[in-house]
Amino acid sequence: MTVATQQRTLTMAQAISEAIGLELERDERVFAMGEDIGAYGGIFGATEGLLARFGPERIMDTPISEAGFIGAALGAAAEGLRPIAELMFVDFFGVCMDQIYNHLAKNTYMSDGNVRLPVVITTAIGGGYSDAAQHSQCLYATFAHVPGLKVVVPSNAYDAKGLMIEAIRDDNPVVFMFHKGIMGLPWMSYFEGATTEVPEESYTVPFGRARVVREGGDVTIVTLSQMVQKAAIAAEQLAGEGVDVEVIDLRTVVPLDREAVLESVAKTGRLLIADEDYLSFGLSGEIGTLIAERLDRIELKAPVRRLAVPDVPIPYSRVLEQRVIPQVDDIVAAVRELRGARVAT
Amino acid sequence: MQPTAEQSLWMYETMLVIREFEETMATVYLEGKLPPRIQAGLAFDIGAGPVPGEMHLAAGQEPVAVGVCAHLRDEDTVVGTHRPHHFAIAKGVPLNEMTAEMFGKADGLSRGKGGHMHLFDPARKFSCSGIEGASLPPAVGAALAAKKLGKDWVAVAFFGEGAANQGTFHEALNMAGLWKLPVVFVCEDNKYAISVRKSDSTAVASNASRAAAYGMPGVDVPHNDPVEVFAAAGEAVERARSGGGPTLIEVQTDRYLGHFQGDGEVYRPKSEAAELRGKDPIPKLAAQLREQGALDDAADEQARARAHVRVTEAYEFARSSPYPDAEEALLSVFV
Amino acid sequence: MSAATGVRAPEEVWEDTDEDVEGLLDDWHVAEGDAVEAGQAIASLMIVKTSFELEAPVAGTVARILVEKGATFGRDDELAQIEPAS
Repeated sequence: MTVATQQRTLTMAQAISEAIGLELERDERVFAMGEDIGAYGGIFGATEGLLARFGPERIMDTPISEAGFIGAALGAAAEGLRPIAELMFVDFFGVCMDQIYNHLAKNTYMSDGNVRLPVVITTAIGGGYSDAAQHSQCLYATFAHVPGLKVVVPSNAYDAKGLMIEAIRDDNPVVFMFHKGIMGLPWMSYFEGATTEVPEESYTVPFGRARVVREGGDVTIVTLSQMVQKAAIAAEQLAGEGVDVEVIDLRTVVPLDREAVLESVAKTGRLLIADEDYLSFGLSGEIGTLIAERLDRIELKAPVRRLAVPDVPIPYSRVLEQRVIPQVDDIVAAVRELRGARVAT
Repeated sequence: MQPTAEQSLWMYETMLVIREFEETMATVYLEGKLPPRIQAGLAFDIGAGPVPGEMHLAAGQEPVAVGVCAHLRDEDTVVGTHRPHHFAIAKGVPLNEMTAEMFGKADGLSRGKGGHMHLFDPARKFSCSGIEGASLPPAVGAALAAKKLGKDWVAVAFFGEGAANQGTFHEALNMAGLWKLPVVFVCEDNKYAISVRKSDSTAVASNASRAAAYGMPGVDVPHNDPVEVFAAAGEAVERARSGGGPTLIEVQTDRYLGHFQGDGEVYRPKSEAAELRGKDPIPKLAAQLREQGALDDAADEQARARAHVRVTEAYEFARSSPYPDAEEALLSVFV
Repeated sequence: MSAATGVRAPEEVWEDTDEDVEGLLDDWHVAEGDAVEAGQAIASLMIVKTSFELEAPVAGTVARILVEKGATFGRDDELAQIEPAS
């Protein structure tokens, strides 16, 4: 008699804390530090239940001293431990960026690979619930821009667990950025597509491998994080109008799966980049240039189109916030425009 | 330094306004956020309702705001925290516009761009930030400017005991001590930095003891008492105004509500918050004023009525104010 | 045959909430047919943002689960029924 294994679904928050728990069990060198990660379980649930299982020596509440404890994570990693340091909101990077971009990112290089810093910085990103300018940013482009940091941005629970385990096992510094609006918290509206079936066992998802969320022939949407869920909803709507959209989830910004992007755009000839970070000097510009550099291989049917936050701080009032953070309707409208656009001949 | 009857009555009435404002907000904040009218599967929707996003209320912490601001003029700078309402009210920030800002409306201080943690009132030199420890360096800057301009203005930085472990605290205090700046650093020790107790975050029992490391006097105010705060702050403000340099004050205060509204407070026993209410500084000050003959039943009733009217009008003003046009989101990045 | 005992959220979880506020049934720790002891935690509830453990009022068997995981309930709603042990 065969017994069907009941797959269980997990929220992205549960998947992340499960991943950390599995690695804490497997490798005694792994430990976590951060503000309110202990009894509170992390403000966004990333370490929920772990203090009870592993104790305060491995799940350490820190003072409000980001430069101090992120630098300490670096120092501990250099001694062979494998710390996970939580930066409560990515927006707080300002108080500790020197330790991250000048040290964590560069010591391996400056030592010609002799120093290994297996640190994972976990951090909450994203807006959409009126947390205003200092608590709603994405900023993956900021971290991606400085050489030496891997930047991981999951869009769903299954990927999040595999990417987190991969991140902890990676000997390089990884910035693991989870969007608050897909964590599946019971106190914040979230996109349910991010809550998925998650296998109980340990598994990894490789870095630098984008995922084709939905195949299509008419338009490519390159996107990541919560925007993947919005793009998927938009794609369903557009399918009803006879528009066949391909959605590419980057999953990691560094390393970037350039090949997946090129392959898709070569197929469809139309590219929309849907990004929740700021428009200028960031990720969407990078993807657009990627295409521009390979026009020997790609024939564009329409100019590249970008949706992103229009270079303003995130405003508080709901009507203002929804104007600047791309919504499902904005994606649908942009795709429709793309279908009607033409390149110069 | 004792407050005059007038100052005490101002403190009392201001505390009444603050308390009623905060407790009203505790209820208003929940509007639209609870089942059944939210996304299925949620117990709470933080982004929903007329006051969306985070909310940090200062019920219980009124003495710190009034005890300090009683000594301040419009030209004196106050930089507050993510829990700013009591400071703003005590500093004289217009309540209607402040409330409208919290509702994200066009008549708000920032036409809805800032929200509750980012209240700016240049006329009263009031600002605040959602970043822990971010209040100290700008207060130092305001004090620096006052000195350069030859004014007797004072700057006050408010922050929590948790933020006293942030790098900015140490840098700001050192510079203020080094340059003998007219700044008063006021630490609100409400015992918790979200879920973490002071004894689990801070190497010393008293932040006031850290003042010596930075060349300035450190003062412990052991009770959540506006008159005690008034005395300590009065001395510090006078020292600053007369060119005597900075002071660090730490006040033992009590936070009645959660760190943020909707905070399940798993880290604090339910009985604790109730016990704190037993030491409420507002009725205590009322009793003191009655004893001194400065307050009687009629005056008390009038003060409460005035406070109630102010708060009620502010919420009505906010509710009836229109939302800004969506395109305003693109304005004011630069001037 | 003994009547099943209805299980409701305890009074204390509704403290400081308005009449029409509902709670969330976050997770069931038991399934229909499971035996339970008196006082055993059988579900996690969330009201506003506070979590509570729902305890079985009597020993017996879980006869029916009336509010599914992820669904909301009001203060008078029965969440489950327990067939008391005889």
